[in-house]
Amino acid sequence: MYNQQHKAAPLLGMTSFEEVLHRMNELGRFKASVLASNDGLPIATAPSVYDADTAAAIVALLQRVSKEARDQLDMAEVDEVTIFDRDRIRLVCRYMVVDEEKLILAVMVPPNRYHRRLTNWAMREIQAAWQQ
Amino acid sequence: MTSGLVLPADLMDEIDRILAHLQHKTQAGCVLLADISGQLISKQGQMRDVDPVILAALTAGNMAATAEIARQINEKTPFKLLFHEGERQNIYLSNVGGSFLLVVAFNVTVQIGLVRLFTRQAVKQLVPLAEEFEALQAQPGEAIDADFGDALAIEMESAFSDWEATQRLN
Repeated sequence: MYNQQHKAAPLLGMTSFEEVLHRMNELGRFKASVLASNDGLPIATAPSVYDADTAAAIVALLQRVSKEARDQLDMAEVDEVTIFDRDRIRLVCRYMVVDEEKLILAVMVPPNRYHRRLTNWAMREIQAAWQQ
Repeated sequence: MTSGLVLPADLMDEIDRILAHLQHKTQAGCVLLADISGQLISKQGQMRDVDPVILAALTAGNMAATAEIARQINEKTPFKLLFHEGERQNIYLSNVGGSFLLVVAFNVTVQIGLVRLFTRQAVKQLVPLAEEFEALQAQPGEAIDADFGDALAIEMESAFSDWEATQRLN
């Protein structure tokens, strides 16, 4: 569904990853999204003015904390970590592995908005963009 | 784009393909592969007012200088990568198998994580090619095209037979 709607013309000056984030933000009315590497470096960000360096470092830190929790509590692979603030805005971190590289997709989701289907779509698109 | 080094065409094509892919994925202005002495092997892209030959030589010198820094802090091997951040352009240098280096010059708008990720992928692909290249360099005779030896033998035979014929006539 998302594929058909959003295989639009490439957005000028953006990498394929940035395009995916941009379209995801548009569809979900998300405030911002960041694709980061496991070591906390930003790979892509939308909007481009967003402080990607800090966001990527923070989501990588969350990833390390969740890994620690998983190890200590003998849990399975972590799928998602979410932080709610008092205004019900969520920071959602989804984890994925592409071509042996661990990546983190982090999204700022406004209150009362669904993110799961859109982030699933974005993760598939990121994988596809990687292969191109 | 090749330098004066003699490389088999298929090896060169493969190197060019990897560098082109890296440049495409990272939107880098310029991607270079040089040997550790600074001799340019291949390049993709072109930056305004930048001479890739000079850039390759300078980055090799840069790598060599930091190898000494690594030694001073008791690192057993030279640093794997260097990153220089500028106001408009950044440069990312990565060691390829100890004898080569990969240079990625890119605009500050490109995210460092993207460059790091795809450079790491490119290095993985370049290491076996670098080993192949080193093996060829270790055998200089083998690096010359096989046809060259045959052509040389034919020409020499022809020259000497002409000379012998001339001698007999005299």
